[in-house]
Amino acid sequence: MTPENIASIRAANEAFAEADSELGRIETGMDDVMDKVSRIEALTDKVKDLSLRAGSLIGGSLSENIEHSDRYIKEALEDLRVVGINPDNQATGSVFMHFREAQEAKRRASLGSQKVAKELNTAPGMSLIKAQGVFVSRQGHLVEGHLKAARSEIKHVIKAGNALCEEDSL
Amino acid sequence: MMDHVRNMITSATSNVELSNVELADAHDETDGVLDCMAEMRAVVAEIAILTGEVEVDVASLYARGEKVKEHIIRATSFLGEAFRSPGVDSLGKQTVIASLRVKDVNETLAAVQGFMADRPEDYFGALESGLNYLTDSTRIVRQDLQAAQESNGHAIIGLKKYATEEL
Repeated sequence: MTPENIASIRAANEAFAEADSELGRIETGMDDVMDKVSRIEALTDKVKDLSLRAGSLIGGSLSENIEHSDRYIKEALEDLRVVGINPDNQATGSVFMHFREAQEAKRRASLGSQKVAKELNTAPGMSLIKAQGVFVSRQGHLVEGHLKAARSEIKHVIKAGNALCEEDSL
Repeated sequence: MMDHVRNMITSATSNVELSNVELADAHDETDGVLDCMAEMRAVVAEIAILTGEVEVDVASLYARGEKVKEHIIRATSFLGEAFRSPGVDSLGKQTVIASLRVKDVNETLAAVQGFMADRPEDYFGALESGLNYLTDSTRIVRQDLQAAQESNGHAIIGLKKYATEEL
């Protein structure tokens, strides 16, 4: 080999070494990305848990409270009915009006809570983020594999180039 | 007879009071729901920040990958000058393999970049609006529960007044 060729191989090796350093930076950066992705995945799980917890509060315990409340009012109305106190009595008419208002407000609360519970039980919008997390995580492992392979190949090339230069200089 | 009526009104009053205890419990449950929603909003905001960071990171890694490709091209051009020397042809083949591996890295990074960008516009804004809507709806439920308690409270006053003034 001519000294020019040896110089070319050395110059190529320098460029390969720079490529390898850059790949090393990509590797470090990819670790950081993977770390962030696993944090995103954990956070999406947290949103899901919170959503289900809120859904069970508003759709479960709260609805039960409203049902129990209705039952007590039914009993109160029965108490009044047996002694002839009804909405037509002038003296107690306003009491029944208040009962009706309360029932109407409860009906609205019940409908509203069911609607909120339904939305919450589907963990709003997290499926796309979850899917992205899963995809990035899988692809991230692929990138890591490709990086390892690329760096190993580049190291082979550098080694082979060095060997050629050494052989020739001997 | 009057005592019986009074007793039944007392019983009815207690039942309305118990009904209100249940409504107060339901009202308290909304506190828990609103707390969960506030926490969800904070977590979603954190996810939005992290997702944005990942997008930027992946874009910069892809740009680095492109730089790697440039280094390999540069190295190949140097080798091209030495190609006529014996033994350098195998180095050329190895270089091709290395550049293919680098290509794999970049294509995978490009796929990640594409998938991350494949989201409806203002996706996190829409998520936040959804959570705001649910929070507002829960507050309305809470107001309705409060209104029901107040109306029951008025009914209790009316019943007590009737029992003391009319009987």
